[in-house]
Amino acid sequence: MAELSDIANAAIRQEIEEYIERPEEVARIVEMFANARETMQDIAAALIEGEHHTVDALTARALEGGIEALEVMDDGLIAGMAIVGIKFREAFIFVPEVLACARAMKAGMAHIEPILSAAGVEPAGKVIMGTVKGDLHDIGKNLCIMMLRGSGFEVIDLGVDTSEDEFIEAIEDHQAPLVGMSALLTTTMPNMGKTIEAFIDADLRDDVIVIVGGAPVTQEFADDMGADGYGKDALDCVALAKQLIESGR
Amino acid sequence: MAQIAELGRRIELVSMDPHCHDITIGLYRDVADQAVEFTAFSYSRREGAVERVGFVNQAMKVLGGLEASPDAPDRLRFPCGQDHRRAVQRLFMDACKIASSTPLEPRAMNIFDKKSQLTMIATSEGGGRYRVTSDGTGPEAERRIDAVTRGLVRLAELESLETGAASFPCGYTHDRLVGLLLKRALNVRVAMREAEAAAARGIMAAPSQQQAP
Amino acid sequence: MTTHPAETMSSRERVIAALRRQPVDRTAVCNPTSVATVELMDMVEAPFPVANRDPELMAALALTGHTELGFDSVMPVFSIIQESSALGCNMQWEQKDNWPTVRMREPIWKDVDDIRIPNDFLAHPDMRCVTDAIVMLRRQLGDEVAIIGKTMGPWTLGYHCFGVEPFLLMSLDDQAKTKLALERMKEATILFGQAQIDAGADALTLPDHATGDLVSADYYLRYLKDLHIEFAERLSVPLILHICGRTVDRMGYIAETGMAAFHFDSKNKPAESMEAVDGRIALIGNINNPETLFAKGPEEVRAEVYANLEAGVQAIGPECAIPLQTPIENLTEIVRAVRDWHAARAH
Repeated sequence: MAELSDIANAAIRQEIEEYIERPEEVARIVEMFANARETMQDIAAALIEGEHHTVDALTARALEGGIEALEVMDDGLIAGMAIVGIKFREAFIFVPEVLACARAMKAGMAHIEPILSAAGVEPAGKVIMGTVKGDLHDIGKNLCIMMLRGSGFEVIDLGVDTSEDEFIEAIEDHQAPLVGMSALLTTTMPNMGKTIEAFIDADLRDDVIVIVGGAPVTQEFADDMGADGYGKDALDCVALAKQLIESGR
Repeated sequence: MAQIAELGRRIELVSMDPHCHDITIGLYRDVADQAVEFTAFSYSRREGAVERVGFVNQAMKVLGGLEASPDAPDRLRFPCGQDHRRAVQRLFMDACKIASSTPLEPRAMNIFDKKSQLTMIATSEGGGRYRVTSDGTGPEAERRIDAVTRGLVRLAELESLETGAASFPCGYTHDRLVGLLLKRALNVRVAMREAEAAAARGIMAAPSQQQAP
Repeated sequence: MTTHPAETMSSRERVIAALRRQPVDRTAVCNPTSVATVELMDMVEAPFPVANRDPELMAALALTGHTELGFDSVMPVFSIIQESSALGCNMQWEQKDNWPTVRMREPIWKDVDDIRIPNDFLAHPDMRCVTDAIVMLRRQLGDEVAIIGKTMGPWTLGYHCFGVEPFLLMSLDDQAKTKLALERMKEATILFGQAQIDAGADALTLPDHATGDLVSADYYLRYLKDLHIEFAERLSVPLILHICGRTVDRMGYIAETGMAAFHFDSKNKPAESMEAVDGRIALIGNINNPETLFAKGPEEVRAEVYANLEAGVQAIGPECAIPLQTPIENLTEIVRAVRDWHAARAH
């Protein structure tokens, strides 16, 4: 079993010591970084600090040095975002910091995505994502999308203010098994229920798994609206998407 | 000056009726003479609003078997006098989706199921009891019969009996309601999830897979 | 049957006293944010979106908050987009059962030097709609009912005009630039606030969405507290700061701004919130919208009203602009519950 001292990068060790409290998470994250190359740890450390130029440069250098794109994505970028997600969940950092980290991840992914597309890597699943009608906020949705893409999902981003018809059209066009709906306003949350209702009317409800999320959304509300799952943050969204795709429900 | 109507508690709402100037129509629930009564109502005084609400009432009678209350023709009740809350909410929403010019007739108690390519049939056995069958046989037919029955259980808050059978707790016949709900019973995902849960009972599930009570 | 003690104050007196943390005959029921619903729109033939743009319809719909729901205040500025519309943002006016919004994905400003408040800012039709509606309401209500206006704070204007993500990234990347941006945008807040005071508003809600769901308490301290102190000094009516979400960690700072009241969200419990402000600012709130007012019934509403009253919250109301489909009986229950609570203690 790996130990904290097995991690070469001092900044990563400090992040784990200072911000990760749940024993099972500590164990998992230590294991993950202890098994990663030092250059991957450096990428992750820069991502956690939101240093997008550094992530950009280090990612390019790693790929030029012959390291596989998937390894850079998993052990560098996604590993870094895992710590970011925990810090955000525990309110050690807030949305501005997460946006900076997401910007850094995007900088790294700009090098990775073309390589993965060219290699024809099989996606983990297909997800349609949109903020509901009347809601023009997309921070949460964008974070989820980045994490989902980073975790190997193919994501169709419908953007904001997505009508019921737009969701339905996307489901029919893309045959995606998973639909994620986001709302940042309490006033637009009821539109989640309306959209699910529209899926029933269109005889589509049984063809899709619906997960909902957003700052004001709760598990109770998700159940009332008839959703299949609720993700309380971007990390949760990815875990839930994986679980639901794997279980086929 | 207050115009708020005392109609009981609102249990459903159509916020914009596209068939009548986007008026808002609410469904209210109250109790009178120990019977549960429902009132469709709109605060709108636009031309056609009264007639539109009247049509919705008529649609609920034809499609769901509601009857006018003996003392107040605008208030509707099931012959059993019971709530059937989830079903009446669905009935109201479906009634509001129909244009006023559409002729009304009860839905048939059978429906083509595109998943199995079979026809699902609901038959009343009396005393509020219904059996779901199909025009086919085999494992797929049985699976769909089970799913549709569970769908009806979910949509109308029925009591499950043996596979393919369920009953209204009130013990009354509700053929029109069953005919209306049959289409949606084909697609009730949560009913299928419950079927899987029933099959998995006794197997420990990971915490992430356990539903909140 | 509960006998309610006679009310000795007018609604207006009650609200103003509550905002000043002075004695009242009973706790005020107050809406710093919208209580418009689709059914109330039908009642007075004032649907969205036009009720946000026509002063007569705006006034008629706002009036229902008092005449139908029994609240002690009326608040005609249902949405949060008037200033942004006047500043030139791209608007989406939506329909009857959806809120008008700013297209924040199409920001109008990229840099601090882009910030410009037009000379005819207050004359913009969407701004005039509000001030004209307040004049009409004042004429109609006289001294009987409190009129609460609304002027958006510079943080929220920053979201609308720069876009949420760019604005938040700027706040992290360049503190000086962000402060300058806020300094320039604050004039819009003051101009519109003053115009509503001149029109007859008794108080102003000031939404400035530095919510705990987005930014830290340190951000509030760094960027907004001093501005909010300035608003309280420059605007001559009681100000009600409104910030959604979890905010108990910054309520101590908010309590030091000199604002009259803080309108708080149901994510913060009444008792913990009262403790955090420690008598230095009034609290208004905090009945939950999406779960309680929208989805549950009068009993659950009453329970939340009582929790607030027992904690000593100075005015009771929904936590934020209510969903447009909220049942009327849940809103009238707020007033009934407050009256019953006081009646039970009078005997």
